[in-house]
Amino acid sequence: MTTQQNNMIDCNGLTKSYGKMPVLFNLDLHLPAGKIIGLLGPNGSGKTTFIKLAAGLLKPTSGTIRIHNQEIGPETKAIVSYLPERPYFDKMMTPMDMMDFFVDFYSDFDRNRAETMIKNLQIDPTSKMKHLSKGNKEKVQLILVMSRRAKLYLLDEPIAGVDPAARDYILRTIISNYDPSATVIISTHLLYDVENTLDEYIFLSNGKILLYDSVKSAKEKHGVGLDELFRRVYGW
Amino acid sequence: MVKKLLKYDFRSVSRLVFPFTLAVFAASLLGTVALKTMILITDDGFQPPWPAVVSIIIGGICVILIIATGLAIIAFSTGTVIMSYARYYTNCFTDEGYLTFTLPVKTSTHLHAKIINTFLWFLYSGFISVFCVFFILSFGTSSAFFNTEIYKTILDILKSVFFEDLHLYIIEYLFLGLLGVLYNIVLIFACITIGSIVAKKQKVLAAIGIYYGTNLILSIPMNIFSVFILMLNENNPAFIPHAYCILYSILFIVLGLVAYFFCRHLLQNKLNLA
Repeated sequence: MTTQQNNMIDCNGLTKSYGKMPVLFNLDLHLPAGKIIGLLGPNGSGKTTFIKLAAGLLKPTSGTIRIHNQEIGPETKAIVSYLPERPYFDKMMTPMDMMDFFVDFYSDFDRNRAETMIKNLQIDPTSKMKHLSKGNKEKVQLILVMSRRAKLYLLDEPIAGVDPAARDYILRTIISNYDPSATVIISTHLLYDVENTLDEYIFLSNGKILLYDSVKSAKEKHGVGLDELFRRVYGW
Repeated sequence: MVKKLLKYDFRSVSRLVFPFTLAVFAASLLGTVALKTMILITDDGFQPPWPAVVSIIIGGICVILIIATGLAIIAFSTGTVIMSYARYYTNCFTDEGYLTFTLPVKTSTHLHAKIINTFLWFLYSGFISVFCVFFILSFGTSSAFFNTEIYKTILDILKSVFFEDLHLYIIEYLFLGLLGVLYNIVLIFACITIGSIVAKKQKVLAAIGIYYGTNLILSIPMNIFSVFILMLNENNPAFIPHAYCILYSILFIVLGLVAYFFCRHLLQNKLNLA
Protein backbone atom coordinates (compact mmCIF):
# COMPACT_ATOMS: atom_id res chain seq x y z
CA MET A 1 0.00 0.00 0.00
CA THR A 2 1.43 3.37 -0.99
CA THR A 3 1.19 6.42 1.20
CA GLN A 4 -0.62 9.49 -0.11
CA GLN A 5 2.74 11.27 -0.65
CA ASN A 6 3.87 8.54 -3.05
CA ASN A 7 0.65 8.46 -5.04
CA MET A 8 0.40 10.10 -8.41
CA ILE A 9 -3.38 10.53 -8.29
CA ASP A 10 -5.60 10.69 -5.22
CA CYS A 11 -9.36 10.83 -5.65
CA ASN A 12 -11.67 11.08 -2.67
CA GLY A 13 -15.42 10.91 -3.21
CA LEU A 14 -14.86 12.22 -6.74
CA THR A 15 -18.16 12.88 -8.49
CA LYS A 16 -18.80 14.55 -11.81
CA SER A 17 -22.29 15.16 -13.10
CA TYR A 18 -23.54 16.78 -16.29
CA GLY A 19 -26.81 18.30 -15.19
CA LYS A 20 -28.41 15.75 -12.91
CA MET A 21 -26.71 12.78 -14.55
CA PRO A 22 -23.59 11.57 -12.71
CA VAL A 23 -20.83 10.40 -15.05
CA LEU A 24 -18.41 9.57 -12.25
CA PHE A 25 -19.87 8.68 -8.89
CA ASN A 26 -18.11 8.87 -5.51
CA LEU A 27 -14.78 7.57 -6.78
CA ASP A 28 -12.13 6.74 -4.18
CA LEU A 29 -8.99 5.93 -6.09
CA HIS A 30 -5.28 6.16 -5.29
CA LEU A 31 -2.93 5.48 -8.19
CA PRO A 32 0.77 4.93 -7.53
CA ALA A 33 3.75 6.39 -9.36
CA GLY A 34 5.81 4.35 -11.82
CA LYS A 35 3.03 2.25 -13.35
CA ILE A 36 1.32 1.93 -16.69
CA ILE A 37 -2.36 1.76 -15.86
CA GLY A 38 -5.17 0.87 -18.23
CA LEU A 39 -8.40 2.78 -17.73
CA LEU A 40 -10.84 0.38 -19.28
CA GLY A 41 -14.53 0.28 -19.89
CA PRO A 42 -17.20 0.58 -22.53
CA ASN A 43 -18.26 3.89 -24.04
CA GLY A 44 -19.93 6.15 -21.49
CA SER A 45 -18.27 4.48 -18.50
CA GLY A 46 -16.52 7.72 -17.48
CA LYS A 47 -12.98 7.14 -18.80
CA THR A 48 -12.66 10.42 -20.69
CA THR A 49 -14.33 12.38 -17.89
CA PHE A 50 -11.82 10.98 -15.39
CA ILE A 51 -8.92 11.92 -17.65
CA LYS A 52 -10.33 15.40 -18.26
CA LEU A 53 -10.67 15.91 -14.51
CA ALA A 54 -7.05 14.85 -13.96
CA ALA A 55 -5.90 17.10 -16.83
CA GLY A 56 -7.73 20.07 -15.33
CA LEU A 57 -10.20 20.43 -18.19
CA LEU A 58 -13.18 19.79 -15.92
CA LYS A 59 -14.02 20.67 -12.32
CA PRO A 60 -15.44 17.98 -10.02
CA THR A 61 -19.07 18.39 -8.98
CA SER A 62 -18.05 17.13 -5.54
CA GLY A 63 -15.11 15.38 -3.94
CA THR A 64 -11.46 16.01 -4.71
CA ILE A 65 -8.78 14.96 -7.14
CA ARG A 66 -5.11 15.67 -6.46
CA ILE A 67 -2.10 15.09 -8.68
CA HIS A 68 1.24 14.44 -6.98
CA ASN A 69 -0.39 15.66 -3.78
CA GLN A 70 -1.31 19.02 -5.31
CA GLU A 71 -4.65 20.54 -6.21
CA ILE A 72 -5.32 20.77 -9.94
CA GLY A 73 -3.90 24.00 -11.33
CA PRO A 74 -0.98 25.37 -13.35
CA GLU A 75 1.46 23.47 -11.08
CA THR A 76 -0.11 20.07 -11.86
CA LYS A 77 -0.53 20.94 -15.54
CA ALA A 78 3.22 21.51 -15.66
CA ILE A 79 3.81 17.86 -14.72
CA VAL A 80 0.94 16.28 -16.66
CA SER A 81 1.28 15.40 -20.32
CA TYR A 82 -2.15 14.95 -21.87
CA LEU A 83 -3.07 13.33 -25.17
CA PRO A 84 -6.71 13.95 -26.11
CA GLU A 85 -8.75 11.80 -28.45
CA ARG A 86 -8.52 14.34 -31.25
CA PRO A 87 -5.75 16.52 -32.71
CA TYR A 88 -5.60 19.86 -30.94
CA PHE A 89 -3.31 21.74 -33.31
CA ASP A 90 -3.76 25.09 -34.92
CA LYS A 91 -4.07 23.82 -38.51
CA MET A 92 -1.79 26.56 -39.82
CA MET A 93 1.10 25.56 -37.56
CA THR A 94 3.86 23.15 -38.56
CA PRO A 95 5.43 20.40 -36.39
CA MET A 96 8.39 22.79 -36.05
CA ASP A 97 6.08 25.55 -34.73
CA MET A 98 4.50 23.05 -32.34
CA MET A 99 7.92 22.10 -30.98
CA ASP A 100 8.69 25.82 -30.43
CA PHE A 101 5.35 26.09 -28.68
CA PHE A 102 6.09 23.13 -26.38
CA VAL A 103 9.57 24.50 -25.62
CA ASP A 104 7.99 27.83 -24.64
CA PHE A 105 5.39 26.36 -22.31
CA TYR A 106 6.82 23.12 -20.95
CA SER A 107 10.19 23.20 -19.25
CA ASP A 108 10.30 19.37 -19.36
CA PHE A 109 10.00 19.16 -23.16
CA ASP A 110 12.89 17.34 -24.84
CA ARG A 111 13.13 18.94 -28.25
CA ASN A 112 15.95 16.73 -29.52
CA ARG A 113 13.94 13.61 -28.78
CA ALA A 114 10.91 15.02 -30.60
CA GLU A 115 12.97 16.09 -33.62
CA THR A 116 14.59 12.65 -33.85
CA MET A 117 11.25 10.85 -33.73
CA ILE A 118 9.71 13.15 -36.34
CA LYS A 119 12.75 12.65 -38.56
CA ASN A 120 12.61 8.86 -38.12
CA LEU A 121 8.99 8.88 -39.23
CA GLN A 122 9.94 10.96 -42.28
CA ILE A 123 7.37 13.62 -41.43
CA ASP A 124 8.18 17.02 -42.93
CA PRO A 125 8.58 19.31 -39.91
CA THR A 126 7.87 22.36 -42.06
CA SER A 127 4.59 21.09 -43.46
CA LYS A 128 1.44 22.72 -42.11
CA MET A 129 -0.74 20.49 -39.94
CA LYS A 130 -3.63 20.84 -42.36
CA HIS A 131 -1.50 19.15 -45.02
CA LEU A 132 -0.54 16.15 -42.87
CA SER A 133 -2.51 12.91 -43.04
CA LYS A 134 -4.73 11.94 -40.10
CA GLY A 135 -2.27 9.24 -39.04
CA ASN A 136 0.71 11.60 -39.18
CA LYS A 137 -1.16 14.25 -37.19
CA GLU A 138 -1.83 11.68 -34.47
CA LYS A 139 1.78 10.57 -34.51
CA VAL A 140 3.09 14.15 -34.23
CA GLN A 141 0.75 14.76 -31.32
CA LEU A 142 1.88 11.58 -29.58
CA ILE A 143 5.54 12.47 -30.18
CA LEU A 144 5.03 15.90 -28.63
CA VAL A 145 3.22 14.46 -25.63
CA MET A 146 5.74 11.64 -25.06
CA SER A 147 8.74 13.95 -25.54
CA ARG A 148 7.93 15.63 -22.27
CA ARG A 149 9.66 14.38 -19.12
CA ALA A 150 6.31 14.49 -17.34
CA LYS A 151 5.38 12.80 -14.08
CA LEU A 152 1.96 11.77 -15.33
CA TYR A 153 0.89 10.90 -18.88
CA LEU A 154 -2.82 10.88 -19.59
CA LEU A 155 -3.47 9.18 -22.91
CA ASP A 156 -7.10 9.18 -23.98
CA GLU A 157 -7.76 6.50 -26.61
CA PRO A 158 -4.29 6.77 -28.16
CA ILE A 159 -4.77 3.74 -30.41
CA ALA A 160 -8.40 4.16 -31.41
CA GLY A 161 -9.01 4.75 -35.09
CA VAL A 162 -5.49 3.94 -36.29
CA ASP A 163 -4.29 0.95 -38.30
CA PRO A 164 -2.48 -1.97 -36.56
CA ALA A 165 0.96 -0.81 -37.75
CA ALA A 166 0.36 2.62 -36.28
CA ARG A 167 -0.90 0.99 -33.05
CA ASP A 168 2.38 -0.84 -32.69
CA TYR A 169 4.30 2.36 -33.31
CA ILE A 170 2.23 4.26 -30.75
CA LEU A 171 2.60 1.60 -28.05
CA ARG A 172 6.34 1.29 -28.73
CA THR A 173 6.67 5.07 -28.47
CA ILE A 174 4.84 5.11 -25.15
CA ILE A 175 6.88 2.28 -23.63
CA SER A 176 10.24 3.50 -24.85
CA ASN A 177 9.75 7.15 -23.92
CA TYR A 178 8.14 7.34 -20.53
CA ASP A 179 10.24 7.83 -17.45
CA PRO A 180 9.98 4.69 -15.22
CA SER A 181 9.19 6.89 -12.22
CA ALA A 182 6.24 8.41 -14.07
CA THR A 183 2.70 7.09 -14.26
CA VAL A 184 1.01 6.44 -17.58
CA ILE A 185 -2.76 6.17 -17.75
CA ILE A 186 -4.08 4.76 -21.01
CA SER A 187 -7.79 4.87 -21.64
CA THR A 188 -8.97 2.38 -24.23
CA HIS A 189 -11.45 -0.31 -25.06
CA LEU A 190 -8.96 -2.10 -27.36
CA LEU A 191 -7.61 -4.36 -24.65
CA TYR A 192 -6.01 -6.97 -26.79
CA ASP A 193 -3.47 -4.48 -28.11
CA VAL A 194 -2.49 -2.96 -24.76
CA GLU A 195 -2.74 -5.98 -22.48
CA ASN A 196 0.99 -6.72 -22.51
CA THR A 197 1.85 -3.06 -21.97
CA LEU A 198 -0.10 -2.55 -18.74
CA ASP A 199 1.00 -3.05 -15.14
CA GLU A 200 -2.42 -2.36 -13.65
CA TYR A 201 -5.97 -1.98 -14.86
CA ILE A 202 -9.14 -0.24 -13.76
CA PHE A 203 -12.52 -1.43 -15.01
CA LEU A 204 -15.04 1.39 -15.02
CA SER A 205 -18.75 1.01 -15.49
CA ASN A 206 -21.37 3.76 -15.23
CA GLY A 207 -18.93 5.99 -13.40
CA LYS A 208 -18.00 3.43 -10.75
CA ILE A 209 -14.96 1.21 -10.31
CA LEU A 210 -15.75 -2.44 -10.92
CA LEU A 211 -12.20 -3.73 -10.55
CA TYR A 212 -8.77 -2.27 -9.84
CA ASP A 213 -5.90 -4.70 -9.76
CA SER A 214 -2.54 -5.58 -11.27
CA VAL A 215 -2.56 -7.39 -14.61
CA LYS A 216 -0.40 -10.12 -13.13
CA SER A 217 -2.79 -10.92 -10.30
CA ALA A 218 -5.75 -10.76 -12.69
CA LYS A 219 -4.23 -13.68 -14.57
CA GLU A 220 -3.49 -15.54 -11.31
CA LYS A 221 -6.93 -14.95 -9.77
CA HIS A 222 -9.13 -15.40 -12.81
CA GLY A 223 -6.95 -17.64 -14.98
CA VAL A 224 -7.65 -15.57 -18.07
CA GLY A 225 -6.13 -12.61 -19.86
CA LEU A 226 -7.39 -9.08 -19.45
CA ASP A 227 -9.27 -9.14 -22.73
CA GLU A 228 -11.21 -12.26 -21.73
CA LEU A 229 -11.80 -10.92 -18.20
CA PHE A 230 -13.18 -7.70 -19.69
CA ARG A 231 -15.66 -9.66 -21.79
CA ARG A 232 -16.78 -11.66 -18.76
CA VAL A 233 -17.14 -8.64 -16.49
CA TYR A 234 -19.08 -6.60 -19.01
CA GLY A 235 -21.04 -9.59 -20.30
CA TRP A 236 -19.83 -9.18 -23.92
CA MET B 1 3.26 33.73 -19.51
CA VAL B 2 1.06 36.50 -20.94
CA LYS B 3 3.91 37.44 -23.29
CA LYS B 4 4.27 33.86 -24.54
CA LEU B 5 0.54 33.47 -25.06
CA LEU B 6 0.40 36.85 -26.79
CA LYS B 7 3.20 35.79 -29.13
CA TYR B 8 1.17 32.85 -30.45
CA ASP B 9 -2.12 34.76 -30.48
CA PHE B 10 -0.47 37.59 -32.39
CA ARG B 11 1.16 35.22 -34.88
CA SER B 12 -2.08 33.39 -35.51
CA VAL B 13 -4.05 36.58 -36.28
CA SER B 14 -1.20 38.24 -38.19
CA ARG B 15 -1.04 35.35 -40.67
CA LEU B 16 -4.35 36.59 -42.03
CA VAL B 17 -4.25 40.29 -41.18
CA PHE B 18 -0.87 41.23 -42.70
CA PRO B 19 -1.76 40.09 -46.26
CA PHE B 20 -5.12 41.80 -45.72
CA THR B 21 -3.23 45.01 -44.80
CA LEU B 22 -1.24 44.89 -48.04
CA ALA B 23 -4.50 44.44 -49.94
CA VAL B 24 -6.11 47.45 -48.26
CA PHE B 25 -3.00 49.56 -49.02
CA ALA B 26 -3.26 48.55 -52.67
CA ALA B 27 -6.98 49.38 -52.64
CA SER B 28 -6.24 52.78 -51.07
CA LEU B 29 -3.68 53.54 -53.76
CA LEU B 30 -6.23 52.65 -56.40
CA GLY B 31 -8.85 54.77 -54.62
CA THR B 32 -6.43 57.70 -54.47
CA VAL B 33 -5.81 57.51 -58.22
CA ALA B 34 -9.56 57.20 -58.84
CA LEU B 35 -10.35 60.21 -56.66
CA LYS B 36 -7.63 62.31 -58.25
CA THR B 37 -8.84 61.33 -61.74
CA MET B 38 -12.44 62.14 -60.87
CA ILE B 39 -11.53 65.56 -59.51
CA LEU B 40 -9.46 66.22 -62.63
CA ILE B 41 -12.14 65.27 -65.16
CA THR B 42 -14.93 67.11 -63.30
CA ASP B 43 -12.90 70.32 -63.08
CA ASP B 44 -14.51 73.15 -65.05
CA GLY B 45 -11.21 74.13 -66.67
CA PHE B 46 -10.45 70.58 -67.89
CA GLN B 47 -10.71 70.17 -71.67
CA PRO B 48 -10.72 66.42 -72.42
CA PRO B 49 -9.17 65.27 -75.71
CA TRP B 50 -11.90 62.59 -75.89
CA PRO B 51 -15.71 62.72 -76.34
CA ALA B 52 -17.87 63.58 -73.29
CA VAL B 53 -19.21 60.02 -73.06
CA VAL B 54 -15.69 58.75 -72.29
CA SER B 55 -15.45 61.18 -69.37
CA ILE B 56 -18.78 59.88 -68.04
CA ILE B 57 -17.55 56.28 -68.26
CA ILE B 58 -14.23 57.17 -66.57
CA GLY B 59 -16.12 59.11 -63.89
CA GLY B 60 -18.43 56.12 -63.31
CA ILE B 61 -15.48 53.74 -62.97
CA CYS B 62 -13.81 56.16 -60.54
CA VAL B 63 -16.94 56.35 -58.38
CA ILE B 64 -17.15 52.55 -58.28
CA LEU B 65 -13.46 52.33 -57.36
CA ILE B 66 -13.82 54.94 -54.59
CA ILE B 67 -16.85 53.11 -53.15
CA ALA B 68 -14.98 49.81 -53.40
CA THR B 69 -12.00 51.34 -51.58
CA GLY B 70 -14.29 52.60 -48.81
CA LEU B 71 -15.84 49.15 -48.50
CA ALA B 72 -12.38 47.53 -48.48
CA ILE B 73 -11.30 49.78 -45.59
CA ILE B 74 -14.49 48.96 -43.66
CA ALA B 75 -14.04 45.24 -44.39
CA PHE B 76 -10.43 45.45 -43.23
CA SER B 77 -11.20 47.18 -39.94
CA THR B 78 -14.13 44.92 -39.05
CA GLY B 79 -12.45 41.80 -40.46
CA THR B 80 -9.32 42.32 -38.34
CA VAL B 81 -11.32 42.59 -35.14
CA ILE B 82 -13.53 39.62 -36.10
CA MET B 83 -10.36 37.55 -36.68
CA SER B 84 -9.21 38.34 -33.13
CA TYR B 85 -12.58 37.21 -31.76
CA ALA B 86 -12.36 34.11 -33.95
CA ARG B 87 -8.94 33.40 -32.40
CA TYR B 88 -10.54 33.48 -28.93
CA TYR B 89 -13.30 31.12 -30.04
CA THR B 90 -11.15 28.57 -31.89
CA ASN B 91 -8.34 28.61 -29.35
CA CYS B 92 -10.64 28.12 -26.38
CA PHE B 93 -13.78 26.31 -27.53
CA THR B 94 -12.82 24.03 -30.40
CA ASP B 95 -10.37 21.09 -30.25
CA GLU B 96 -7.53 23.61 -29.77
CA GLY B 97 -8.98 24.18 -26.30
CA TYR B 98 -7.58 20.78 -25.23
CA LEU B 99 -4.11 22.23 -25.59
CA THR B 100 -4.94 25.75 -24.43
CA PHE B 101 -6.46 24.70 -21.12
CA THR B 102 -3.86 22.06 -20.30
CA LEU B 103 -1.01 24.56 -20.52
CA PRO B 104 0.52 25.39 -17.14
CA VAL B 105 -1.16 28.78 -17.19
CA LYS B 106 -3.92 30.32 -15.07
CA THR B 107 -7.30 30.81 -16.75
CA SER B 108 -7.14 34.53 -16.01
CA THR B 109 -3.78 34.72 -17.83
CA HIS B 110 -5.37 33.17 -20.93
CA LEU B 111 -8.16 35.71 -20.74
CA HIS B 112 -5.77 38.64 -20.28
CA ALA B 113 -3.68 37.57 -23.28
CA LYS B 114 -6.76 37.28 -25.47
CA ILE B 115 -8.13 40.67 -24.34
CA ILE B 116 -4.77 42.40 -24.97
CA ASN B 117 -4.44 40.66 -28.36
CA THR B 118 -7.89 41.78 -29.52
CA PHE B 119 -7.34 45.31 -28.15
CA LEU B 120 -4.02 45.64 -30.00
CA TRP B 121 -5.54 44.39 -33.25
CA PHE B 122 -8.41 46.84 -32.78
CA LEU B 123 -5.90 49.71 -32.44
CA TYR B 124 -3.95 48.39 -35.43
CA SER B 125 -7.03 48.18 -37.64
CA GLY B 126 -8.13 51.65 -36.50
CA PHE B 127 -4.70 53.12 -37.22
CA ILE B 128 -4.41 51.51 -40.68
CA SER B 129 -7.97 52.51 -41.60
CA VAL B 130 -7.48 56.15 -40.53
CA PHE B 131 -4.11 56.20 -42.31
CA CYS B 132 -5.72 54.92 -45.54
CA VAL B 133 -8.54 57.47 -45.37
CA PHE B 134 -6.12 60.35 -44.76
CA PHE B 135 -3.82 59.05 -47.50
CA ILE B 136 -6.69 59.04 -50.00
CA LEU B 137 -7.91 62.48 -48.90
CA SER B 138 -4.40 63.98 -48.84
CA PHE B 139 -3.11 62.64 -52.13
CA GLY B 140 -6.39 62.10 -53.95
CA THR B 141 -7.50 65.71 -53.62
CA SER B 142 -5.82 68.58 -55.42
CA SER B 143 -4.29 70.00 -52.22
CA ALA B 144 -3.40 68.51 -48.86
CA PHE B 145 -6.56 67.51 -47.01
CA PHE B 146 -5.63 69.52 -43.93
CA ASN B 147 -5.69 72.73 -45.96
CA THR B 148 -9.06 72.03 -47.53
CA GLU B 149 -12.32 73.72 -46.63
CA ILE B 150 -13.83 70.32 -45.74
CA TYR B 151 -11.27 69.74 -42.98
CA LYS B 152 -11.71 73.28 -41.63
CA THR B 153 -15.49 72.89 -41.66
CA ILE B 154 -15.30 69.59 -39.77
CA LEU B 155 -13.06 71.28 -37.20
CA ASP B 156 -15.45 74.21 -36.88
CA ILE B 157 -18.40 71.89 -36.38
CA LEU B 158 -16.48 69.96 -33.70
CA LYS B 159 -15.61 73.24 -31.98
CA SER B 160 -19.20 74.44 -32.03
CA VAL B 161 -20.42 71.10 -30.67
CA PHE B 162 -17.84 70.89 -27.91
CA PHE B 163 -17.58 74.63 -27.18
CA GLU B 164 -14.09 75.93 -26.56
CA ASP B 165 -12.57 73.04 -24.55
CA LEU B 166 -11.90 71.00 -27.66
CA HIS B 167 -8.63 69.46 -26.45
CA LEU B 168 -10.16 68.40 -23.16
CA TYR B 169 -13.09 66.82 -24.99
CA ILE B 170 -10.81 65.00 -27.38
CA ILE B 171 -8.82 63.52 -24.47
CA GLU B 172 -12.00 62.65 -22.56
CA TYR B 173 -13.71 61.01 -25.51
CA LEU B 174 -10.55 59.25 -26.65
CA PHE B 175 -10.32 57.74 -23.17
CA LEU B 176 -14.01 56.86 -23.29
CA GLY B 177 -13.57 55.33 -26.75
CA LEU B 178 -10.71 53.10 -25.59
CA LEU B 179 -12.68 52.14 -22.49
CA GLY B 180 -15.66 51.35 -24.73
CA VAL B 181 -13.48 49.14 -26.93
CA LEU B 182 -12.18 47.23 -23.89
CA TYR B 183 -15.70 46.90 -22.50
CA ASN B 184 -16.97 45.57 -25.81
CA ILE B 185 -14.11 43.08 -26.11
CA VAL B 186 -14.80 41.67 -22.66
CA LEU B 187 -18.57 41.64 -23.27
CA ILE B 188 -18.15 39.82 -26.59
CA PHE B 189 -15.76 37.32 -24.96
CA ALA B 190 -18.35 36.70 -22.24
CA CYS B 191 -21.06 36.20 -24.90
CA ILE B 192 -18.84 33.81 -26.89
CA THR B 193 -18.12 31.89 -23.68
CA ILE B 194 -21.80 31.66 -22.71
CA GLY B 195 -22.76 30.67 -26.27
CA SER B 196 -20.07 27.98 -26.39
CA ILE B 197 -21.05 26.49 -23.05
CA VAL B 198 -24.83 26.73 -23.36
CA ALA B 199 -25.40 25.87 -27.04
CA LYS B 200 -24.89 22.32 -28.26
CA LYS B 201 -24.75 23.41 -31.92
CA GLN B 202 -24.47 26.78 -33.69
CA LYS B 203 -22.35 28.16 -30.86
CA VAL B 204 -21.25 31.25 -32.80
CA LEU B 205 -24.85 32.07 -33.72
CA ALA B 206 -25.83 31.66 -30.07
CA ALA B 207 -23.00 34.01 -29.03
CA ILE B 208 -24.18 36.66 -31.54
CA GLY B 209 -27.76 36.33 -30.26
CA ILE B 210 -26.63 36.64 -26.65
CA TYR B 211 -24.54 39.71 -27.52
CA TYR B 212 -27.43 41.53 -29.19
CA GLY B 213 -29.85 40.47 -26.45
CA THR B 214 -27.47 41.73 -23.75
CA ASN B 215 -26.95 45.03 -25.56
CA LEU B 216 -30.70 45.45 -25.93
CA ILE B 217 -31.23 44.91 -22.22
CA LEU B 218 -28.31 47.17 -21.27
CA SER B 219 -29.51 49.96 -23.57
CA ILE B 220 -32.58 50.49 -21.34
CA PRO B 221 -30.72 51.61 -18.17
CA MET B 222 -28.17 53.45 -20.33
CA ASN B 223 -30.93 55.51 -21.99
CA ILE B 224 -32.58 56.17 -18.64
CA PHE B 225 -29.25 57.45 -17.26
CA SER B 226 -28.78 59.63 -20.34
CA VAL B 227 -32.17 61.28 -19.91
CA PHE B 228 -31.42 61.71 -16.23
CA ILE B 229 -28.19 63.56 -17.09
CA LEU B 230 -29.99 65.85 -19.51
CA MET B 231 -32.55 66.71 -16.84
CA LEU B 232 -29.93 67.25 -14.13
CA ASN B 233 -27.83 69.60 -16.29
CA GLU B 234 -30.66 71.55 -17.81
CA ASN B 235 -29.22 74.81 -16.50
CA ASN B 236 -25.63 73.93 -17.33
CA PRO B 237 -25.60 72.59 -20.92
CA ALA B 238 -21.83 73.04 -21.21
CA PHE B 239 -21.35 70.25 -18.67
CA ILE B 240 -23.57 67.71 -20.46
CA PRO B 241 -20.81 66.19 -22.69
CA HIS B 242 -18.53 65.89 -19.62
CA ALA B 243 -21.33 64.26 -17.64
CA TYR B 244 -21.97 61.78 -20.47
CA CYS B 245 -18.31 60.94 -20.55
CA ILE B 246 -18.19 60.35 -16.79
CA LEU B 247 -21.41 58.32 -16.81
CA TYR B 248 -20.39 56.07 -19.69
CA SER B 249 -16.90 55.63 -18.27
CA ILE B 250 -18.41 54.38 -15.00
CA LEU B 251 -20.88 52.15 -16.86
CA PHE B 252 -18.16 50.67 -19.09
CA ILE B 253 -15.90 49.97 -16.11
CA VAL B 254 -18.65 48.40 -13.97
CA LEU B 255 -20.25 46.36 -16.77
CA GLY B 256 -16.83 45.39 -18.14
CA LEU B 257 -15.74 44.08 -14.74
CA VAL B 258 -19.00 42.13 -14.36
CA ALA B 259 -18.50 40.60 -17.84
CA TYR B 260 -14.83 39.83 -17.09
CA PHE B 261 -15.47 38.03 -13.79
CA PHE B 262 -18.45 36.16 -15.24
CA CYS B 263 -16.39 35.07 -18.26
CA ARG B 264 -13.50 33.96 -16.04
CA HIS B 265 -15.86 32.05 -13.74
CA LEU B 266 -17.37 30.20 -16.71
CA LEU B 267 -13.96 29.33 -18.15
CA GLN B 268 -12.70 28.08 -14.79
CA ASN B 269 -15.75 26.13 -13.68
CA LYS B 270 -18.16 25.41 -16.51
CA LEU B 271 -16.01 24.70 -19.53
CA ASN B 272 -16.65 21.29 -21.04
CA LEU B 273 -14.98 20.79 -24.40
CA ALA B 274 -16.93 18.41 -26.63
